[in-house]
Amino acid sequence: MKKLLTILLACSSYTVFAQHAEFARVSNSHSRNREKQPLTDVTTWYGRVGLGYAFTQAGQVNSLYGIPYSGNVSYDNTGATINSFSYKKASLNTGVNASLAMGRMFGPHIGLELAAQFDVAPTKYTFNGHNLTLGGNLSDLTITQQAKSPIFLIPAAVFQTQVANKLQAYARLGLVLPINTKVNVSVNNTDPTGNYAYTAVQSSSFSLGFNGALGLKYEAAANLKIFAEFNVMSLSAYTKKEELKSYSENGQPIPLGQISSTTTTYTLSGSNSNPNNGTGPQATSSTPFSNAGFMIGITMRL
Amino acid sequence: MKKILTLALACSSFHLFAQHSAFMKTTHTELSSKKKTRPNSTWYGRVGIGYGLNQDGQSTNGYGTPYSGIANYTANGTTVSLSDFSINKASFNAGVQATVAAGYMLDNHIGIELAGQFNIAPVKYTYDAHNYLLSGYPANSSTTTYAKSPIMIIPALVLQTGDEGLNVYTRAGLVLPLNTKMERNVQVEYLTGGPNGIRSKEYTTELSSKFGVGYTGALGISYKTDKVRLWAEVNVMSLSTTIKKEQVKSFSQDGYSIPLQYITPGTINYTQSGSYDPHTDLAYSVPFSYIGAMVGLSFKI
Repeated sequence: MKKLLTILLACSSYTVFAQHAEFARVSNSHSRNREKQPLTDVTTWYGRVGLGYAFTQAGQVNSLYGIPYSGNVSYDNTGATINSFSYKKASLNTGVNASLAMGRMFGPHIGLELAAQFDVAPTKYTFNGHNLTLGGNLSDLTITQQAKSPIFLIPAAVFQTQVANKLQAYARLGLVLPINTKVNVSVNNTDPTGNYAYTAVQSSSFSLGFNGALGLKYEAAANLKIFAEFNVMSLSAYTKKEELKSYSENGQPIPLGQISSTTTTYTLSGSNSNPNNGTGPQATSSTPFSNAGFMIGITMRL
Repeated sequence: MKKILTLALACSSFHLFAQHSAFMKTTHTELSSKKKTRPNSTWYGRVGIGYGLNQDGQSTNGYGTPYSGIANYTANGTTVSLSDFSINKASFNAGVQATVAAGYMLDNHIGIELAGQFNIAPVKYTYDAHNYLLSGYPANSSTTTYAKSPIMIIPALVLQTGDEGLNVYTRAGLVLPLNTKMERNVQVEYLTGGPNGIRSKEYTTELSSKFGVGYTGALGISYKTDKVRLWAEVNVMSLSTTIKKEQVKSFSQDGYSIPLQYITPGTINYTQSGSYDPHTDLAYSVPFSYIGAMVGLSFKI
């Protein structure tokens, strides 16, 4: 019986060994034939984290208030003639971006991914106006606008191909679903009658955007790749609402309960609106969130 | 017997000939493939037609005037108030798109391409304002703005899942605008008479933009037949240009044409910084982004 068991075990071991040898042979042969397509990328889950910086792309000059997001304008003492002006295009989704993603490759060349992108340090834009005519007075006006940590969900299709040993080129194309596109606004106005200042938060209606990336991945270890990419995002959001958060006159805070209206709504169509006192729906305008940027990071096989 | 021998010889000859042909074909193929530096590299041409919709658009121009829609005002003496409005988003590259491209696949999965993209029927945007004050005079106006056949050159990288049968592909590239000129036609009707008693005026201007680089991407499927490859894709373009110059092309008052030398300023230069000048104004961005669908075919060249 003992001998029989020994023989069975030996046979079993041989079978396992033979299967392993055959698998190794096939794998080696497969690897030789398809050495440019590592098996690690065939039907596998992966995670991706990255950090980068984005610049204004397809941006705008004017904000919701009809004046530039960024720059200076100076009028003469009559307020009728511009002495000088200087301003820049703006996008509220520029600055330091971080990305966290999970994806699945369905073969060596195509996959799907879901990413969350966070603008962790959005650019702040400031406009300074001198001798602007506001309410019949010559005013010095400063407006600062900054997105409040924009967050986007990005489902995307991923394409990749081997370009050299351990080096892959890839492209990603996806939708941008904005989760947070709120914008902080700070206004400070001084004219001969005094000074007022307020802060407000603008929120936007949902709109769909697009995102694309081109990059290279280097296989640093068996389950770890380092990537560097160039990416773009195309998105503009339309302001829906502006809520007053604080208000002061001549440096003295005024309780919001004493303000007749703390919310202004913005729409693409409406009636009975009065731009002079801000009552009724106001005509909305687009807020630019498009950008172009670079990102580096790692992908890990899960 | 003779007939059988002849037939057998003929069959044998045919068999030998077939073998020889197959050998020659194989040898020729092997030699050809050895000549190639990369497997399955090939040149191709691509043509397509599609439609682009406004995406990442804007609603107003640099003066805060909507590109598209309607606004009704109530003018009362020297004051005016907006009674109702309806505005639309706009992109000047929306409309019927045609593309012609040539590319080179380095292997079955990666290639590069250079395309020319033409907006052959750009969307025209009209904004109507009623009973507002224009330089202090109550007026109605209608402003139509459209791009004059935008042309873009697009160098791009192509990635695809394979070369045979049905495949998925993506394309990502730069957009180099060759032509982003626009035309604006303004018709004004003064409700109670305008400057110097005129009742109406109409003028047309041409706007040109500074060069600016944009980006494009496409996601599509292709099916290879014996002779051509059929494809269908969704594509996006992200581009905004900055207005540089506006020139008056025609001007009329009360139906009478006015020679352009009498129009001041006939040309306005737009800049991002400067000082006051009647011929200088603040530049603003113009939206050319879109999302579209396109179908076409590609072929080896």
